[in-house]
Amino acid sequence: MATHSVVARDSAKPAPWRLKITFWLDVTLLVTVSALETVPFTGLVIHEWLGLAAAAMVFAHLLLSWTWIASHSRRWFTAQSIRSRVNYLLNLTLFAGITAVIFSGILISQKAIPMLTGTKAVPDMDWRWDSIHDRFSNFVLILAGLHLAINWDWALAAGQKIFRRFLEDAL
Amino acid sequence: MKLARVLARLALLSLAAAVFIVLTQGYAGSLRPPFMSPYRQAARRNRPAEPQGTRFPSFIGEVMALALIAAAGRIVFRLRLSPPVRGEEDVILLDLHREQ
Repeated sequence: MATHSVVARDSAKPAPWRLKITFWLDVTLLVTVSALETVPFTGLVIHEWLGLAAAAMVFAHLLLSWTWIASHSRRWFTAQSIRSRVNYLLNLTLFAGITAVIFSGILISQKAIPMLTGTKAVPDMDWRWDSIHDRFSNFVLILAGLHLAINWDWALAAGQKIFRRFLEDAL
Repeated sequence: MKLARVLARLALLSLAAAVFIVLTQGYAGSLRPPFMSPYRQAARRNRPAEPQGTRFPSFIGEVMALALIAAAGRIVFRLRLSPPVRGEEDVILLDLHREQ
């Protein structure tokens, strides 16, 4: 989530493995969001399983950012910068959007959920939930882009730190 | 102990997700048909089950759309949300003094 420095994101001095996991998880999430938007490319089967995997990744992402979530939730009613408030609201809306997409996706699932629950897929599409899934998925793509934008400094610093260490080890 | 903490956090996140699910259900209940045009319905009904490599450019298109939104957001957030650099503020103040 949002801070400018890599070291200050979650704890005073995060372990290198934690930074690596957070960074690569975030990269994977961004690629996954893009892939989930193109059902013809992934196919419906992969799309549904990837969606469920994305739900798990979002939870992991939130757990790794817990210190930020807890501190900003506590400080919401105290004096905070506009940037901080915008970031918090953006993250909250993104979480709401992702929840709506995952929930509607589960309701209209034709392959993954019937396989997991051992039930038969509904023969007719539920257009109400299908339209909600469609609308919120576009909304999530926009919010994910804005989430990346507001956390750009962190992403850049983390990337530089990881790749610098990788290059130093390689040379 | 650490596991209990993680589980407690997961429970909190699930609770927040449950609240958003209730809100989504409320929104779904407020929608009136037609939910989608017949053309879109036909397109969605005929989505392939298997991946299609030939549609890779559309995936790249989505990545580029995400990058574009991020770039646009970066410009907006930088212009609107970043505090001015202290040095620049001083220069502006000095200019004002000179005019007075």
